[in-house]
Amino acid sequence: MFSRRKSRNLGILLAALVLSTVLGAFAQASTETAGKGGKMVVADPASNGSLDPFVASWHDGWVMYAIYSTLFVQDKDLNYQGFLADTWEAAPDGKSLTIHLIHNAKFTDGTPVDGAAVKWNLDKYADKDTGATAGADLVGLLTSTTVDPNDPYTITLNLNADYAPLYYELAALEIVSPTAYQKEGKDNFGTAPVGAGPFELEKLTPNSDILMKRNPDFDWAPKSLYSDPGPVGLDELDVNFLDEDQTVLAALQTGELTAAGIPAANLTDVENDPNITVSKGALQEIRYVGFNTSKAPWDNVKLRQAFAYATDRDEVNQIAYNGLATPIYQPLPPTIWGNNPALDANSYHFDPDKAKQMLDDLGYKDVDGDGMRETPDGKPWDVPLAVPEGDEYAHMAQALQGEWNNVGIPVQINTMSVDALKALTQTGKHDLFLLYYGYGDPSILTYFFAPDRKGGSNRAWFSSDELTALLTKADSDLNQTTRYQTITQLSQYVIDQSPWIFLENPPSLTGVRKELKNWSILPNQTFLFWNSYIDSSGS
Amino acid sequence: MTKYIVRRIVIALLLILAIAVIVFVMLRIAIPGDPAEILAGDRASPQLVAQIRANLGLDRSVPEQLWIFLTHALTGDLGRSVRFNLPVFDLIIGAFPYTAVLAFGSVTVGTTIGLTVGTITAIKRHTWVDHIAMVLVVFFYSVPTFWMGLMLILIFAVGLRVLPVQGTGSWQNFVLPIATLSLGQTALIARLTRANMIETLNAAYIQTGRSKGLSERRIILMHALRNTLIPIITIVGLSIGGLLGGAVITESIFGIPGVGRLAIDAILDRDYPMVQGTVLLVAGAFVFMNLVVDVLYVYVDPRIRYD
Repeated sequence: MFSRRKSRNLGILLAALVLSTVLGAFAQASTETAGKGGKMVVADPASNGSLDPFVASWHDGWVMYAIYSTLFVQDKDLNYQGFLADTWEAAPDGKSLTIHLIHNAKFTDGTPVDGAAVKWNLDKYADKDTGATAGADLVGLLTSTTVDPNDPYTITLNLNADYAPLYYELAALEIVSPTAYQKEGKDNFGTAPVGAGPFELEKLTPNSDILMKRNPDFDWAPKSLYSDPGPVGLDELDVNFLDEDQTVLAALQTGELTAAGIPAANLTDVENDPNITVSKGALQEIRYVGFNTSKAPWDNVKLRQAFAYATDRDEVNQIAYNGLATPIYQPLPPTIWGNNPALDANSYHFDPDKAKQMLDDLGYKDVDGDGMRETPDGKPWDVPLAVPEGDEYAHMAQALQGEWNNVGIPVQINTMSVDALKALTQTGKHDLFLLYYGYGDPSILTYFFAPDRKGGSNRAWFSSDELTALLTKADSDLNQTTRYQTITQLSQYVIDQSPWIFLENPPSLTGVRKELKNWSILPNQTFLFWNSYIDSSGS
Repeated sequence: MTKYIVRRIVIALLLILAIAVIVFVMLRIAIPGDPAEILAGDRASPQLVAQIRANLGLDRSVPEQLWIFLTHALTGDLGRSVRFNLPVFDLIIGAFPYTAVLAFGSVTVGTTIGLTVGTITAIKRHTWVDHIAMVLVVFFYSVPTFWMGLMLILIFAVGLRVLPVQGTGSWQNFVLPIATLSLGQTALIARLTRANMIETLNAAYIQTGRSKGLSERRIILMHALRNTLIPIITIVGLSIGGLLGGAVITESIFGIPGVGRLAIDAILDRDYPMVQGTVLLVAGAFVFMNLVVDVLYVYVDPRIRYD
């Protein structure tokens, strides 16, 4: 009886295995489509939210740029090119911008993308009651938008000030169908979005994925980025909200995902996979250590500089990023327009002897012989470093602690959530903090060093009249050449004053299945896939 | 019995109310971070943050917000998620079936195998079968869910390619997550069953049964196993209650859009209405399952009477 039961169980087990294998293979195959076209599946947990651009806080993900068009886009040189905008001209005083729209664009509900539609969008973004996070800078800046009475495809944006990041702002604003928005209302548009992008929504499963299908009418892809204006080559785009690195990696290896970010620690595994191509780039982000310059002793620029000299960015890079990041020596990384490589030579490179000498000169000496320095009045010294949770920051903090210990600086690492850390920096009672920022325009520096931002995003509590003047000039200069020069000056000023120790420009590693053809990635990490297709022929 | 159940339901409702109030107040007072600031981002002006706060109703006093939340919750309106701009109730209802499949699937599989393994190892105690089984039980109970999930993915999805890594498209998507959760459940139940079964098999009434000539199979299935079930029911009830609140790690690893992922994302985003909604669900599931367990005791153990 026992043997009969055993053999029956074995039979069931074998049958289940065979069934699993067959159905598993079927499931794998069904994600691919023969010939050109096909379905591209990507992971992007940040897009897991409302698809209403007036409500959403996330605009850089796959979904928004698939469903909506924007007025401008950035090209491979980070310059702005037209998308819905065909041609444009700014007034000599910088107080207005006239945009001639392309004539062939229409929303997926059939209504035209004309001046009236764009005006409706810009006015809504600029309305403070909307509370939109995108285009928030237009509030109070955009005084009116007018449609040319003789040309329904020409609009003029009237501004009350020169505003250099205007193109950056406009390139980030998704243009929705006013007709659809008014029909659906604010409560429903997020689940029934209508735009003029290369894809349209097919199925939305909150917290799981968003499936989109090709917009058959789309033929206005920017010429500066795509040789074929459309419709797109892919049949479908599925954006999954997977957020576990190892799951994403496994799904990429099995072919369940077409493209995905790769953790630096797994780079070798992926590079050895014959089915995956790895694209290496850098994010538009930096990691830095900030000082609370409003609090002694961090108000002493010499002390801040001594810390910068004691920091070995190459070692931090090795420990935190396996050497894949780019050490930086100025407030803007190479991936953000405004970075000037020539400034690096004027910054503080790792020089522990110089750091020791500066600390000695400031009176921080090891008086009790324990290897760690005491304060100038002979009291024990303890430098608190607030660090966000997460492996990346923990590794960076450990590297910094070791480097600073080597010059006799005792460091106390305080790990906390990012929100707790930000809240701490707003009190003004903090000391040193390890943090990051990500953005695509140098105007971000205004948000970190404007005097009225102390207690908010000016976490270093650092400002001066000279710096404020430079920030104002950079943000209002529409001439790219002179703006670049101003940004160079203000970057040099920030380097000299050292309210931050600039650490790393983190890597961006993207794995792409070889079945996906005809794709590329811009320096700002925009994935160009509108001319792509899935090649299931195996070639 | 009815009186007891009614009394328990009233207590449960008061308990859930207390939890809802504590969580509501803690979110706003004790935990750093503000949904308006998170939504607005680093670059946002104080005016924008204030406008978003007003749009979300967070500019009102905490007691006023609490009153609005409680009165609306009574009508089933748990508010709108800050992140999704969708009704919290709809989001939870959408996520709950996935979590329920994981919870009931893993507890059913885990309990069935656990009872079987526990009973066999009790009968065969101190044999190689018992030793090997107990080593495996300790192993599966000790390893973290996260590690177990990733191992199963590496073996069955990446290595053998017989099951998908993630998603919810077919029944196969649930095999690995249910296996991940049920291995720990199996180990727990097996160990508990074995200990209780050994104790029960030494009891006087079992000896009496044997002396009366009852078959070993009848003694184990009809008498011993039934008497080992009381602590098992407690564990199973608590497991289901806990898992219905979301198997956070498993859902994240396997990309299951269940309640656990909703809850953890909501906490990270300070999506207050969503956190409150999921906490109500977790509390409700726990309290309800506890009540079910207490009622089941009566049927398993006739000595227990509540009236």
